[in-house]
Amino acid sequence: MLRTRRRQVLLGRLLTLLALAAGWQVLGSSPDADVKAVPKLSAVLAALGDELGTSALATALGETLTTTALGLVLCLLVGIPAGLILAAHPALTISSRFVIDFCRTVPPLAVIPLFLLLMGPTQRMAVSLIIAVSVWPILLQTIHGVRNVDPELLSTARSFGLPLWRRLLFVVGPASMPYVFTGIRISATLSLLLTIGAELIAGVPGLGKEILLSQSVPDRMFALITVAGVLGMALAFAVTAIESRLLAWHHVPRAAA
Amino acid sequence: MNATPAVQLRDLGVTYGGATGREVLRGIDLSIAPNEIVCIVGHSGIGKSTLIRCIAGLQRPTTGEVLIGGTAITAPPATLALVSQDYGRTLMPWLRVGENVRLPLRGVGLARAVQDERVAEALSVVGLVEAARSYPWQLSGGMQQRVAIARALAYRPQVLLMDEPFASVDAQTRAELEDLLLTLQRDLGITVVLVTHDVDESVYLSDRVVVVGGRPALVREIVEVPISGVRDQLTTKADPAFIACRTQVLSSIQASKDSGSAVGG
Amino acid sequence: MRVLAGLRLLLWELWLPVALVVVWWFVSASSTSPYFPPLSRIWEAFVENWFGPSFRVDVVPSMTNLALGLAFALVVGVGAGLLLALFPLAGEIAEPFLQFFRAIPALAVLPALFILFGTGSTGNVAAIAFGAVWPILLNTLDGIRSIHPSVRLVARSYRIRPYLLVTNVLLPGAMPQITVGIRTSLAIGVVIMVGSEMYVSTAGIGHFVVVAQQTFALADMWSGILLLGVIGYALNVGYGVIERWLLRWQPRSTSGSK
Repeated sequence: MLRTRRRQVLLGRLLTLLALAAGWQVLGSSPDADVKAVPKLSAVLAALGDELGTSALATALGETLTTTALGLVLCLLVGIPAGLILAAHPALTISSRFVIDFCRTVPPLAVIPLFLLLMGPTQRMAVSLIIAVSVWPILLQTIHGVRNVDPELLSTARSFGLPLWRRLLFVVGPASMPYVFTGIRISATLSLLLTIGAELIAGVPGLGKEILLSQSVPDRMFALITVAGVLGMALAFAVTAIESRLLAWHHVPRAAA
Repeated sequence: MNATPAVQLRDLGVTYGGATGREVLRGIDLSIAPNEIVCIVGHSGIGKSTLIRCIAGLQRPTTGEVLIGGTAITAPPATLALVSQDYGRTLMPWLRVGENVRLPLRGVGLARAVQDERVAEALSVVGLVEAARSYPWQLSGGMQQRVAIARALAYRPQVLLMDEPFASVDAQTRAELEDLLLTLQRDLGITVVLVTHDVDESVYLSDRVVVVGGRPALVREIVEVPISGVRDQLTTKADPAFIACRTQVLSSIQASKDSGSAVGG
Repeated sequence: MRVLAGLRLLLWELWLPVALVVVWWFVSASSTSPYFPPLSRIWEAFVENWFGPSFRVDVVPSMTNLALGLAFALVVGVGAGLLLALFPLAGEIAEPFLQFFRAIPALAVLPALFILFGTGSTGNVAAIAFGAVWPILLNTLDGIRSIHPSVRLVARSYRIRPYLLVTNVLLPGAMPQITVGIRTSLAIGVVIMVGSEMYVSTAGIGHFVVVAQQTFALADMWSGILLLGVIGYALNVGYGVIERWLLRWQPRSTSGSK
């Protein structure tokens, strides 16, 4: 029974994939004036095939990935220690609450024009943008995580006479990890979004800029958008894989955010 | 018993996973008269839940059939209400107590005023009129289980089916709920089928105790409980008849366990 | 006593933001850097623009697009999520496709969406809806799936009518997760609102900020950034109220999200 079910699902997915592909192809061939500019799937796939051979795509992908990764790593380096400090005392947590909440909710792209003026369309600008925006979820979740560590655990650790750094490493760290990872998941998605946004809107080199430049060549543009989709999927997959490895001991509720 | 049985099981059997699969229940024959209160006892994990689901019409038996009020059922019948063990998960946490009780009455063509009346009545029977506007989590476990009972009563069932209804409450509350059930059953004249693993409880509540056991589970023995009149926790449980029944049920369960899988049929 | 305690908490929460604004005000007062105009000038520009004609020209269209896009995402997301949850096989088949669409960085799709829907406000609304629909859809689907089997069993045994099952059992049961999805979608919606206006548009706050930057009207640009911050914060707080109302049946807990 389970085997037939499994087969039904796979067959259904295959059929859905074919239907989507056929739908796209039909949409692309439509003479309707409104959708004329959407290229046929076959043309997009051909463009994608051409693109895969060139170094332009590889370079752009490399740039986008480096920007995202660099930004995310810096966010971790800033966000987690800052979160630990702010969670250390209720006065710090409460005092910083409004500022963090405000900064967190500022629409991230709003500062692109300012950063563009200050730094021009460079990778440095995109990385700065990511730090300014993606650090907040990590910071906030670290504070939540530390503040939610079971006090029982902490007093047990203290009664064993563990020094502060050991308590941080072996008690606070693992216990707050599920929270921190939620922050990382959000920040990772946000970082990629910001990288693409900075490239598309401000012209920072990378995949988004390539999409912008290929606006007049719809085949190529759609091919590049597909690549961006695969990149997003790969990132989500990677973060989940790391999370389930590191948090194997913890029951992770299925992705919500 | 000339009247149509309220609940009748005919050669009921359940096997999971096809012909070569695991046989859980075999050849269960049982006839329960209207107004009777019957407990089904047996070890945990021998298929009591499966049996309950079959009687409730939530699962189709592999063999045999279930008749409620003389009609074979294929889906949950309108004349039966189910109260199960984990009250915390069978009350809708997002509905206030009154609305929880009302939910099964909605959409079946009952006027709003009639629904109100039935909800109020059911809540007053279980002594929870003041709690109507509370959310379930604001009540204790025992009170939540009373709400679940009120919901069943408001539904006006002919058969009340209870799956370990008092297993997750403390001993004091449990005794209170048992007595509440006996009072309700006497006053309202409903048929009660209750599944439990607690032998004392089964003897205290029942007219007859059905012992189920073995793998696959069969009806091992049906013990009549010859205690007439109003029962109460102190005197009934000290009654020699009660103690005799209890011993009989216990030894029957013990025997079914010892016989293990060597079941002849 | 309670009032006093609340007041003290408020003071603790507010001293830092107030101090930061005051510091900004005085440090920037003598600023000659074109990029960081005095806060007093930014404030003048803020009042002039947003309590003036730009409110109607830029804020109203932005907010209208956002509202339309989110409304569309909400209806489609909850509706489709519900349908997929009611037909588990369909849900299982659809899941990888939904995950893929959600994983696409929504801004990358902007050019394609503007080709499909034109560069008018339809394009902006479509972009917002496209980005915002997936978290709501996936959370609705997941939320309904995670309703405890006992709840469904009770609903079946009491023969709850289908529309009551949807409105009184499935949707409220999934609500804790749906609200998480909406919160994510709200954030994404605002990002795409700004992004799409910066990318190609003739109106909207994002458009205003970009034009101000290109014409070197930096006080105006700052006023736009500030306004976006205020809007973002206000939406978040406003949604918090709605969320508490939607989940009013839950016991209040003080812990954060996991």
